[in-house]
Amino acid sequence: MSLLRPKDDTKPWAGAYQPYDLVKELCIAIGVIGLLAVVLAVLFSSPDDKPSTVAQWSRQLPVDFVKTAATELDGTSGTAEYGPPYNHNGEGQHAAFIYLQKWLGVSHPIDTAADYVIDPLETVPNDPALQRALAEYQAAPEKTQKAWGEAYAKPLEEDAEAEEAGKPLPKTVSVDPTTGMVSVQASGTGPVPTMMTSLLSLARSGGLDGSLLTSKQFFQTDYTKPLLFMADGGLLDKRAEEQHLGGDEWGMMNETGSYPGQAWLWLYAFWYQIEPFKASENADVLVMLVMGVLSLAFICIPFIPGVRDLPRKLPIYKLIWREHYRAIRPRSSA
Amino acid sequence: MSGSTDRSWTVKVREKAVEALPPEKLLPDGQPTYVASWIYMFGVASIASLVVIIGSGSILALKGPAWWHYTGVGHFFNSIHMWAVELFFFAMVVHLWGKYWMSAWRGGRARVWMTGAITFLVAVPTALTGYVSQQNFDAQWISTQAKDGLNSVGVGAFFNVTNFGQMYSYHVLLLPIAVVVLVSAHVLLVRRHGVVPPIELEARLQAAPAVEAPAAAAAGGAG
Amino acid sequence: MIKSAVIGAVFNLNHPAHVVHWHFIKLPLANVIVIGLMLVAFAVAIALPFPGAARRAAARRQAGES
Repeated sequence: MSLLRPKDDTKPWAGAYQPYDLVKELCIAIGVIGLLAVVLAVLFSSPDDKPSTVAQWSRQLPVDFVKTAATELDGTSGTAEYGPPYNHNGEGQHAAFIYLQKWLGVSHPIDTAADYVIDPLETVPNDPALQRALAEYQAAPEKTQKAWGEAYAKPLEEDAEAEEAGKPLPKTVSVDPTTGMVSVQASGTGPVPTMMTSLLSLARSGGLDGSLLTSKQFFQTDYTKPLLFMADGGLLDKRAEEQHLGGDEWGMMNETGSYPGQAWLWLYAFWYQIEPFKASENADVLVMLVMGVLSLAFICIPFIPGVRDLPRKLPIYKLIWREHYRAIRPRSSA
Repeated sequence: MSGSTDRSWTVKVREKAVEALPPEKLLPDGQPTYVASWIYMFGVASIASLVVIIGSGSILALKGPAWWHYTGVGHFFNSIHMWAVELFFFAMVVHLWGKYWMSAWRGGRARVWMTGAITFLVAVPTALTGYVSQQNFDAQWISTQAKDGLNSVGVGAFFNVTNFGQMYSYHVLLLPIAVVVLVSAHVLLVRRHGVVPPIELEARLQAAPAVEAPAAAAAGGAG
Repeated sequence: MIKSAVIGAVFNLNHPAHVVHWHFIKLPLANVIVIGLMLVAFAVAIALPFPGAARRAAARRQAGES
């Protein structure tokens, strides 16, 4: 007997059979479950929180929108520095020497400066000031572009930090209450303020939603670009926090509203709550690898000593089969 | 019947199928007397939930992915679909708890356990692809979060949760086919080997000599 | 304000969840209820007698088991 093959004393059943109608049982089960699903649907319905759009984001959180757009332009946003599968600007996550994210390569290239700022702005017609700003930006050396971007982004980052800390907001960033336009007081920003103002206008009009989606072809079903852009900003986070969907609240198990969610993801969500995963930059790959190993173990329970023997040690089976054991007891003691 | 059948693939497949699962074994009208607990109902409840999921999902597919957002009837079928998914995982997990505490892999039934476990593991991405195909805020949030886990292991390079077209295709066609195939294999294996007999009370694993699990085929129609 | 669309529900569940805190575990009440019901269903399914005991006893007698 090897370690993997269990000591199995299970003999084929040579005892009595009862009449049992499997097809009727299935039909009854479908009826009961169907009725239960309908009753639950009538009582509780299902959630359908409307999706956010880039237009809504630019109207509700204009400073956050402009700050995010500035980081997309200067290549410091989450997506810009993500690495594969979007770009080569980062190595992605790794576990020891295993760099699966990097090894599988860039399959969905995104150039954040071009895709989120320059290309959409180039579609705006009849705006000589914008066209001059774009020409000036694209003609400048990379070092100059970076300096302009950083100068513009600095007051926005200070504003965001102050808001998060609950401190008074610096006066370098303001929003016009009538037009919703953002104004940033900073020097050495070059044409960036003009570009950002035009991008905010384009976003508020709904033109940026369309531009991000249909840039490659007429028919589209791939929402990667607009979703990643919004995820770099704060609107999705804000809505998620209101609905307790964040990772620090076991969010991947949860649904919007007070509906039950995906309770079966409990073990996957668990690891993110404890160290060393909680604070790790490579939390995702580490959790995925742990869950991969545990999933394999789950499949192979019949072969794992100890785990496969626990049911005999904690004999719940004696309750399940109590009628059978009672029935055979007089014969075995005879 | 044709004259020469010794090289017929059809005959070979038919004979192998009938040998593995003769009609009385495929659809028996009796079960061993130890099948006497409500815990046995959770397997068929899981299948019933899957039927309701596929039925309600088919209605949603017939009308297209946007329908349920702007009609009451559509929203109602979406609700049935969502609650059927909750019932499916509910029944499946209670079923696997019961089967674990019964050590249902005994007697050469390891493949029954394994197909069941793989079914559960495939049902999880089947549900995920559904959640990211909802075209609402929940879909936006789940897809932008789930992408990080999948990207971290390189799966995101070819399975893009923010690509609605791809995710909808996986959800409506590819993964349901996988689940149905796995559930069918699981049920056929149960029919072949029979429902696992109770653990012998008298046998003590430490004292008794190890016994080879007898082949199920040798036992004929018995468990 | 972005509102959700709920049509015809008897009970409106479209409000932020009540979260149950226990040590580092934070779960919305709905998930706690589902998990609790699963445990209850498991226990009740094992505890409740299954119909057909007389039929099974007759089958055992016929097979000469008892």
